[in-house]
Amino acid sequence: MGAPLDQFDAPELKSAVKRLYAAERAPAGLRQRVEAILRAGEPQARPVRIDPAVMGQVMWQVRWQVKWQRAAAAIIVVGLAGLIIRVAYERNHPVGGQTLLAMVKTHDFCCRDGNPHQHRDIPQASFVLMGQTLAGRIKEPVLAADMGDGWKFVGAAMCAVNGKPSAHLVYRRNGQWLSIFSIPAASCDNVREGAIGGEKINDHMIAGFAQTGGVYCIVGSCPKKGLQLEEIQQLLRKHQGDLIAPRATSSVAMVELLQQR
Amino acid sequence: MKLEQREFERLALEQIDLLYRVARRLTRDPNRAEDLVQETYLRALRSRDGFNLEEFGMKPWLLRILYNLHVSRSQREGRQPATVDDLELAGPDRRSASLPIDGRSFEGMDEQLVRAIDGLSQEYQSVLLLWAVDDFSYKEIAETLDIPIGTVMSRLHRVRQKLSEELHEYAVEARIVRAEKE
Repeated sequence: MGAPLDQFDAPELKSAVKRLYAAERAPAGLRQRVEAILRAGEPQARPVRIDPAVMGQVMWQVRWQVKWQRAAAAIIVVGLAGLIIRVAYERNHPVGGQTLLAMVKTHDFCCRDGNPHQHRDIPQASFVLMGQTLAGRIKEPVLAADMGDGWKFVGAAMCAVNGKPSAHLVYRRNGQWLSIFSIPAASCDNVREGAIGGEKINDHMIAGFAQTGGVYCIVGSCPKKGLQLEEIQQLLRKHQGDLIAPRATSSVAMVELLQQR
Repeated sequence: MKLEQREFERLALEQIDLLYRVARRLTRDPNRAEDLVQETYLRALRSRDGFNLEEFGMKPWLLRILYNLHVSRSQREGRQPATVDDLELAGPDRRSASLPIDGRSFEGMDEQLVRAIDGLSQEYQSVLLLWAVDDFSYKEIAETLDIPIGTVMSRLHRVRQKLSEELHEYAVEARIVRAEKE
C-alpha cells in the first residue's frame, strides 16, 4: 500500500469551489472592528526619566519645539476646517440630484408587495454569483451582500435608472424597503468620488458613494417613518467592501466535474 | 519565535477573510459569523503571549480558536454540533432545494453547485472549503477541526460523490447532458 495521498484527486472540484467562494470577503465593518481590537492590544509607551544634567539643554529645545508645535497646530486647524467644510459639502452630494430622483423612482416601482423582483437570468441563491453576473452586465463591480440587521433579501434584477441599466437588489424588513443600486458612473450626473454621502428625498433615505467607475447607493423607505438616514449610511459603511467584480472565466470545470461520475 | 505586536497584528488580520468564510459555513448566519470572528480575535489577543509562530502557525492557530469557540458556544446554547455520520451528508437547511432553478446554462450550474454546497452539513462544508479555497493539507484540516485524517479523506470523497450526483441531476433536467439509459 502506498503513502496516503495528500492531494484529493479532484482538481476540477477544487477549482470550481475556489472560484465560487474565494471572492467571499469579511465585511468592511467587521474588518474595522477587528483592527480596533488588535490595536487596543498595542503596548503603551514607557515613561521617560530625564537626567537633571541635561535638563537645561532639553528645556531650550522644548521651547523651540513648543513654538513649532503651535505653528503646526495652527496649520492643522486651518486644514481641518477646510476639510470639514469640504466633507460637509460632499456628504450631501455623492451623485447629482437627477440620478438620486431616478433611483427613488425605480425603488418605488420595484419595491411593492407581490413583486418578486427576481430576474430569471440572475442567480438568486448566492450573492457572489449574483454579483459576478450583474457586474458582467454593467461592466463595473457590483455591491451584493447579505445585509443582516433583519433585512430579508427579496430579489435581484437589472433595472433602469434614468433610462440606463443598473444592478438592483431589493430587501425587506417589517414593512421597510431597501434597494442597493450599482450604476456605472458614466450613467450618472455630477459624480463625486469620496466619502459616503447622505440625502433625504420624499421620505426616502439615500446613502451612496462613488468609486473608480461605479456609483453605489442604498435607498431606504418606510411608510411609518421608522427608518433613519444614519442607519442607512451605517449600513452602507458596513458593506462598502462587499463589491464583487465580474467573473473572468466560464464554468468549464463543471463539465469536468460531471465527467467524473 | 515570539512576534512583535505590529507583526502579530498584520499576520492575524491577513486571515480575516478565511476566518469569516469558515464562520459563515459553521454558523450559517452572517451576524453570528461576524460575532464569532470578532470573539476569535479577542481570544487570540488574550493568548498572544503564549503564541509561537513556528510551533503553531497563524492560520491553523486562529482557525483552531474559532472552531473551539464555535463548539463551546453551540454547547452553551444547547445546540450541540451534530457529530456527522459519514452517511448523513445533508445539512439542516435545505431551503435551497425549493428555489426555482434559473438559466439553462453553465452559469446555472454554478448556481446549482452553490446550492448543493449550501445543502451540505457544516462539517462537510468546512472540510471542503479549507481544502479547496485555502489549500489546506489533510493534516492541517484534521488538526484544525480535531478529526482523524481518515475522516477528512472520507468526507472529501463523499462530498465529491454527492455534488457530482446533484449536478448531474440538474444537468439532465436542464438538458446539458443526456439522461443515462437504464
